Amino acid sequence: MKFSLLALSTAAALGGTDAFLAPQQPRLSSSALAGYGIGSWNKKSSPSSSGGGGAAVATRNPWDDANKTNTVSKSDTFIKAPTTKKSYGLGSWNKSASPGGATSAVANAPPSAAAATGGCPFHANYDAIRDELKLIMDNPSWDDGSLAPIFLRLAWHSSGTYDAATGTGGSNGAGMRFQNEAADPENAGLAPARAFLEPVKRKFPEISYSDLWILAAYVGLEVTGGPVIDFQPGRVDHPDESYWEQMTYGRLPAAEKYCCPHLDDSNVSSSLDETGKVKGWEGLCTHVRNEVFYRMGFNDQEIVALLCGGHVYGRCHPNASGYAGPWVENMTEFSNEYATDMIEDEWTLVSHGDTWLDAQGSAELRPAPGNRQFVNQKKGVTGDDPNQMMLLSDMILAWDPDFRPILEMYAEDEDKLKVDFGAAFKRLTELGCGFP
Amino acid sequence: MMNAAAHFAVRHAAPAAATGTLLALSLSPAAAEAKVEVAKTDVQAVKKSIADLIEDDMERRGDGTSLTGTFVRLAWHCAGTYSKVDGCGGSNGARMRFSPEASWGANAGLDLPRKLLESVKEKHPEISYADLYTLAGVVAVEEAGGPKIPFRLGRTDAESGDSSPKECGLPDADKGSFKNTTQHVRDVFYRMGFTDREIVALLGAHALGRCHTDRSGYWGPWTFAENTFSNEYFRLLIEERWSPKMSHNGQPWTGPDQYEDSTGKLMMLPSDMVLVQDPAFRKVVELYAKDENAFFGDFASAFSKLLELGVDYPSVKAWYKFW
Repeated sequence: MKFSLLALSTAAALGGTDAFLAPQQPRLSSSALAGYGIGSWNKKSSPSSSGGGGAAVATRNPWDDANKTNTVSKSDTFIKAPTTKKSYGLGSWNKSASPGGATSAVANAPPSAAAATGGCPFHANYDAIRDELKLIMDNPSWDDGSLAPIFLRLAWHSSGTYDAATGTGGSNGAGMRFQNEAADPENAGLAPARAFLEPVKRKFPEISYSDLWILAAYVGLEVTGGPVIDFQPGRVDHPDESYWEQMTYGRLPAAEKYCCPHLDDSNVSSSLDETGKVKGWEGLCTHVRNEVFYRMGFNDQEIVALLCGGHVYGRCHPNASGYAGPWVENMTEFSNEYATDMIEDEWTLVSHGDTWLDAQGSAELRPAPGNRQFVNQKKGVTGDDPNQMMLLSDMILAWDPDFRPILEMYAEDEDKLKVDFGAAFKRLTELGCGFP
Repeated sequence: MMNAAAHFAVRHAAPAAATGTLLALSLSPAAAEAKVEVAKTDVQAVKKSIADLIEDDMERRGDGTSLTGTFVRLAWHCAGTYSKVDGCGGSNGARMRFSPEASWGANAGLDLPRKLLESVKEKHPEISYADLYTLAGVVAVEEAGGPKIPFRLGRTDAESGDSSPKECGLPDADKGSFKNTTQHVRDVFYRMGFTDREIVALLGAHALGRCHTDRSGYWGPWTFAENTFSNEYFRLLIEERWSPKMSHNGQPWTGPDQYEDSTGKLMMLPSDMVLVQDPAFRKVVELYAKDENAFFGDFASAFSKLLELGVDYPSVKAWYKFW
């Protein structure tokens, strides 16, 4: 940390910290200062005992359990408190005790403090943490060579549980470390993201998991040509799972909710109406708009910006979400490709039964049994087009008369998308954190 | 009839009773100065004894694991001490029987195969420990379906650990960062005189065996077929998604940093991951993942070379000179 506590309290007294700090410095507001170990500013009210801790079963298309990898059992998820790593063998030949290495950092950190309060932002060296995140971001042995997409999704799914009406949910707390939130079907496939960040947390125990998961996404965006977002630290990790009593499954969006039922993997075209939209799409639109994003406090423009920016990253996996493939060709860089392609390309509805995809070199676009998605391929037409997909919940941006003009705007103006996405993503990742 | 083994003149420090036929031959100029004896070792018989040992032990265990991985590791850790800079180290001498090598952390767990091979040594006293330990690695690879490894007898046994290198030059699995670990892997193997391609080929031996928390501290097999020698290790490196191991048997993983696949049943060490993260290594991994024959061929010569590092075989030229 480059500034002293004195400077901080002075800054706090002045009611703002901007004037004192260089752009990359974390900004600690007075409320964040007060939050540290004093009171529980992030908990609005005592947990209401609403019918026991039961979480509502996620309402979405039936899972094919055989394909699902989010089989988090009772014993799988846990709080991983920083521990000194032990070698059980004779000697510790596999660990060199080099200064500054991971082992020494862990050995010095008081385990209970880091686990219980989620770290101390006063002492976290954010520059060093950023550098460490940049070091691990490019990973040739991960999807498409980058961890940025999965870090983005971890941050989004941590944040997207927010409910403005009750003030519950949001990225504060890093609840996905715990059994219930990790087992949300919508969080399938995110365990590796948390696993990749674990060594960073061990090396820098002062940062909270909540802050680290968000910072990882911000760094991911930065190094891939995306917006540079001011990082506001100060999130506090939940010490235990009691927060879940106020939560439910179903807050994160489901890609096909309220659409007509899909019963037959061999006849997916029966799901389409005469205009080529999936029957019941208006219900899905209500789900995404009202049940999910209005619930968090976003408006239509922000919803479109988030989807257009977020879905240029990464891909879906049949054994995680059940969907398959990337949305765009350059899925590890920021662009407005998602918006332009949604408007310009032709999209074919497919399901697991569409094995013609495999024959045409598009096996990576075939979803798991029971799921429907759109693809940019046509049966019997081979070409050079890269494999791309769209979820039903993406297509509503093109179908809905209020979303459509915003989609078209971003298809025309990549710079505006970058600015708007940056603003909306910052807002998303700060929901419920109590920042000013 | 002279077999291949008898062509080599070696000072054979044979303990106790020398049974079988002893041929006294002086083939190389250097050896001509000393009285040299070569025991006629029936390599095929020793190999069969080792193979039987592996098979019987595997049946006894009945848990799907075997000695194949351990024997390869024994041979490798005998040989991997070699430095081309000063010519120290190498499989000659079977110095792992003594301190300091016996107590190096890197050799944790290798007392077991040495103990088991005593029964083979008893049956074939004329083979040196050094030849026996390296031959065990060869047999393990071949019995597991791997390529035929060129092997020559001729190593002698040291009487103590005095000629061991002072420091353990065997590789660590993790030097704290990808960059440091990659450099470390190169440092260790370049010191022995290997190229990038040979390094990748040798690491393919991780097709066999597994790590143990009570030995190296790591846990798990690299592949689902840990008693079969194949290019599966490379295929998994390329095709699987490896993430840091978080849990083990339902509890938090508190061992050293390692990677696991999506099932959690397989593992990779940080030093394994280096092979797909470094572009030069990665190219070779991709080749071997597609072409098992190329891997087998390269492995056979690299492994054979490894096991002969620092062993002073008389030159063929001298043999011809003799005749």
